[in-house]
Amino acid sequence: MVKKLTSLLILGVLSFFLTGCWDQVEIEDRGFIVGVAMDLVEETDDESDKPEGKYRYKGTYQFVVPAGLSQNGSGPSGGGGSEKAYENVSSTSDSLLEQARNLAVKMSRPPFAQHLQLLIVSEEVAKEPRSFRNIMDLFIRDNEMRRGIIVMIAEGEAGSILDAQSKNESLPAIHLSDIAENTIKNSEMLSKVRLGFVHERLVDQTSFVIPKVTMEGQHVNMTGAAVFQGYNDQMIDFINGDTTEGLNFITGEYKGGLIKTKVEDELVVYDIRNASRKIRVDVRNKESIHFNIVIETEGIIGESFKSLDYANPTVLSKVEETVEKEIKRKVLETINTFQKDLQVDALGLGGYLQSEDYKTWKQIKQNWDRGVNYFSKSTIHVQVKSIVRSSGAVFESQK
Amino acid sequence: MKSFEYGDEEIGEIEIFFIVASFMIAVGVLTLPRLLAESTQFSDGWVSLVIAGIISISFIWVTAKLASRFPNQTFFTYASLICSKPVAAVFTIGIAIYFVALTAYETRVLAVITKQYLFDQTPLEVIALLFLLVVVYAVSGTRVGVIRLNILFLPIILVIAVLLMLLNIQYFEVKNLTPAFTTSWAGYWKGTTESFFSISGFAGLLFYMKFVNRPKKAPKYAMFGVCVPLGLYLLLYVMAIGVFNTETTATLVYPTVELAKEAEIPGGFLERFESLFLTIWIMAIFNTTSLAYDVSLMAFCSVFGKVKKTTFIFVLTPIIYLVAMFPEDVGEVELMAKFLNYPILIISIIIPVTLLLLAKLRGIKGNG
Amino acid sequence: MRFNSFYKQNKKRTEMIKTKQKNQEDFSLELFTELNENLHNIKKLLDEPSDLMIREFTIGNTDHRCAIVYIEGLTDKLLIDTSVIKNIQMETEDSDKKLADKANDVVDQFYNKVLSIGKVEKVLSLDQVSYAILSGNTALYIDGTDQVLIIGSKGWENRSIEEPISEALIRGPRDGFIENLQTNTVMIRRRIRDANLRFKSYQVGRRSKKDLVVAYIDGIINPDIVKEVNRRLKTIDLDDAPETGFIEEWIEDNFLSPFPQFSHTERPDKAVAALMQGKVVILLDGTPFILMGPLTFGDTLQSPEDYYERWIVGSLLRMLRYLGAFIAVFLPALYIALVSFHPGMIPSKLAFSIAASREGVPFPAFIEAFLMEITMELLREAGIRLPKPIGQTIGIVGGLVIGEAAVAAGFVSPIMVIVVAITAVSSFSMPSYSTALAFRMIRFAFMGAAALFGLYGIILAYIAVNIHLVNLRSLGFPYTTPFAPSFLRDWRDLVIRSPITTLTKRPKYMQTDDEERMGNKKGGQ
Repeated sequence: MVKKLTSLLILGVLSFFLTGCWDQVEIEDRGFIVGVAMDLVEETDDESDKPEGKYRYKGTYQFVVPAGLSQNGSGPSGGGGSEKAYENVSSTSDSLLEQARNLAVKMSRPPFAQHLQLLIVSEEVAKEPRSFRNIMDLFIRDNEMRRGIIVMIAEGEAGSILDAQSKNESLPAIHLSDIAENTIKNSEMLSKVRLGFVHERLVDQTSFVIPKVTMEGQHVNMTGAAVFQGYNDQMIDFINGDTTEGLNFITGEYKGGLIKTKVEDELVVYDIRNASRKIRVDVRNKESIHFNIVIETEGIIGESFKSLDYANPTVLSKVEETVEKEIKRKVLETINTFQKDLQVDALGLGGYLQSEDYKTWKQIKQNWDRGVNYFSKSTIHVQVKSIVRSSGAVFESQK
Repeated sequence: MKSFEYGDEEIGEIEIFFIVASFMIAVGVLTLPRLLAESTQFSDGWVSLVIAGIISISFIWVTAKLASRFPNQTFFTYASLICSKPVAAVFTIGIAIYFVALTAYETRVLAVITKQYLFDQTPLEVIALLFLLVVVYAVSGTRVGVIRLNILFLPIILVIAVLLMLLNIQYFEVKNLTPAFTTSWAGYWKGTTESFFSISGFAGLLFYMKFVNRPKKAPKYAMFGVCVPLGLYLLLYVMAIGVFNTETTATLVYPTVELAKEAEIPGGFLERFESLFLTIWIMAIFNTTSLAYDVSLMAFCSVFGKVKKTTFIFVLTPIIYLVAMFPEDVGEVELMAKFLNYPILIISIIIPVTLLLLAKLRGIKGNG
Repeated sequence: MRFNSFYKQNKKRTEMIKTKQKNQEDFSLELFTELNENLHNIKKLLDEPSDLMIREFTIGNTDHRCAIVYIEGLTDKLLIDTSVIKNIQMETEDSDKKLADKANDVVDQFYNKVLSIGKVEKVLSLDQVSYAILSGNTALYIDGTDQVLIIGSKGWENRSIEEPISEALIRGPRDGFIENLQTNTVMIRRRIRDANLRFKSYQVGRRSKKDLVVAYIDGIINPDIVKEVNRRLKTIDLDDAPETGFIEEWIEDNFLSPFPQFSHTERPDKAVAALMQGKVVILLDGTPFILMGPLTFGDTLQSPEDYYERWIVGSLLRMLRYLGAFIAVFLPALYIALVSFHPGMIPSKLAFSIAASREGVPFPAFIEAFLMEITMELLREAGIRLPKPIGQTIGIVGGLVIGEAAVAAGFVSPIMVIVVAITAVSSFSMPSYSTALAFRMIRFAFMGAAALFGLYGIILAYIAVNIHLVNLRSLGFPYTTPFAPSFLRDWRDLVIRSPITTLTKRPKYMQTDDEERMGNKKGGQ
């Protein structure tokens, strides 16, 4: 009996050798997509009988050309005309999946999206109603996609950004996603937004921001952000670098940056190494909700045009005071922009209200940053506490 | 070459702990955070989970207590003592059929998940068949062999689960957990019933207790055994809520796998943690499936004493395969899961409780 | 037909031989009182080999004849000359004692007074005589009696005790077992002066009649093991056992398994450590390799050096070996699975560079890996067969030149060469050669599984190997203990090696008679 069983087992296993391997595709036969950019082409014809989406998109897909990569690696062997390490292919359709399938017609190596790093959506697409979420659907649904794909909003055409050149990185998509990591040095950038984050926002319907990317000549610029209204996931407007910086202070995403202040009419630069914030909510009356934001920063004197004696506590506290003022100004300006101009709570204050007073929140949830817009009506206080930890290697660099 | 016996056909209380724990950790945990998020708000699901856990622990105690009253006796033997032989036979065959169906279900779900996350073109039938063959190889060996496999695999499974949580800590937001206790009573109740089935009593204990060498200690260890999946589920659930928030968790088909998808291994020597996680998780599903199959074989063998185990394997394996391949789509698989939930109530609650009560009332005890 | 006739012929021949032995009238298998007859018989039995020495002489100043028979080269000549011939010829003369009238009494007298040799015994059959002579002893025939004295005079040329080649250590005793059984038992004896150390003798080989010794320490070992080993050894029916490998294969629990169920060593310290753990040691004459059993999976990755070095180092080295074992088994399979099935798991930049390096490689990853692994195994095999200096050259030529050239020719990718090299190095780090062989074997199975079903195949194969392991036994002990029938206490000396002072007890899974290794609680023997 046992012998029969084992022979049956062996036969069963052997039969698989005959059938071959369904999923085996060698690594060099795959067309790695590293970046995708989505642009709007046109509205489709409504009268058409065919089932069609409302818009036609042009998807630009960045494929890796491994041969180009190795050429770059091996130095000057290729001579002057070195091959590009990537190839951007465009495809137009109302369905993203169809776009991807269309690529298989054009490329010898079938598209493979597991290494997709970057998704750029153009401003035009994001501003059309429902368009943004429809695009996101495939990326969230498809098992090939990671939740760590970085999402950006392009000012102008998205496809051309995938051509951004860099000497260090041979793949523009990698180049861009590496730039997104640099928030520790620059606070006018928003920290990178992952696809998973977007998914959560699409589901819980809170307003959010996504980093903006623009082409400036040959180079990209990633300061600023796009603001999205939560309930319909539609982009409202871009905010500039300054506002983004203030936003970073409020959301606690501030990783590092600098504050320029004037002390005795000369420039002193405060290099922030650490920032944190606390938010308190006071909901005595839902008509006037009070938020109290306390921001604390730690930093050093990065640059000082004025020769000051930083060993002196009074000088330090004076510098700290000006820094605090400057930060407060920036933050208040940001709050003003969001409350009055955009009227959208991308600051995440609603979340605090929700965990603080769930009953009230349930009542006003539908009218938080739309309709009655309790958000715009709420009062937001800002307190800033800055500390100068050191003045660098010297107290004074000149006398 | 005959080998001399080394505590074969005899297991300790630690083994009981391991099989109870690893039987429960299987496919349920992959969907559990969703089920809880659907019925409760924010992180309130833990209350449901704990209640379900306590219920489960108390019934596993009843089960173990019943079985330990009759040391070295099969379920069929002592059930015949307590009630009549025909009734015992009905019970035993019923349990056996349930576990056969469970084997089929686990095989199917494994094939579905594997296809979704590891394969693209490979047919479901092949994935399921391969897995079933390995399970058959396991159960056609010695019984203690199956139990030892559980001991070998469970630590690996727990390590990968802990790793999954550690890698997700960076995305964990405490904000998503609050406010607390906003769920309605109905929500808690629904959550409890949903999660109870994922950590429901392991009726296989009724059979495995025969081999335990110190049955007095076994109920305690069986209860500890339930605590492992309970703790794991709690952590995974809270993790999922903290990382995704409740609304998103409720939309994910397999939130636990999605957690693994979210994770990024520091240093980046491996990407797509979910593939690794699922690969290891196959061992967990294998554990449950092989135990379930083994229990059903044991049940059949105890009723039909003359028929050999291998004969049952020959007969049952094709049936299991066909049952596993029967549902046509994901919806039908879910339906299958629902059907499998009801017998749990009978097998792990009604049968042990009535039998124990009857045994106490009639004063029937084992000869041990 | 041809085969058939040959078979028939052969059968005839064997029958002829049998009848020749049976019906041979010119000699008999009995011992006689007549010396000449006896000498004739022994000559005929052995067919007058050239190395058979028969020396006839008279006892003392009498005319009573006697003869010694031995095989030249197998005996200690000096001992025979000075302690046998000289004593017989001289002593009786000097003491001026009357030679006993009865020849049988002569035998007793020789035994008691004349022969100044430790090992002397009386035998009564030609069988025993020939066996004694062939094993290097000397037979002393005395005219007029059918008793023969066997003088223990074994002494042949032996390899001197050298450092074991197959198990080199940085730190630890340098001596290794040799081909001589007696020397080997001595080496163990010298290390354990316990009255309970037992050496049980067996004889294996229908024709070779080799000595086999089972060593164990009574009072430590579980008596069931001794019984079981005894039972299994009794079943051995070979015509010769040139190496302990024959014994191993005959008595192991599952000969279909790729995993060894006995460990072998040529290090006495390892043998002693096994004895102290309550294991049984089997020594065979003619080979320096001894067997130790039962073997569990954990043992296969341990080296004596773990105990000789400090415990932290020992523990780390052990963990390194576990890692090595993992790499040796899984790395090529993982490479295949990741490259052909799940490139998403490889970090993006590495994935692109692997893709770039595989550009132009004509084979799928499995064929590529298979070719390189086979090449590697061939190189290894060639390196062993060739004389040492050339062997090393082959290693270098093969490893460097073939690897380099294969990459340059676009035959394989450079990453594959790295994978193969790391795998090879890892499999060399295994302390047990036979385990390393097992790992090398199942590596190919894993590669096949990976080529068919990627990671899913690997994990199923892994589960299958585990199923095999939990069902495998060594001398009846579960192979996976103390992992799977869990004995937490034994984990102190498993993946890590705790400080010696904490290892106060013998392994629990061995179920020894005396658990205490240290302290005066029990073992005062």
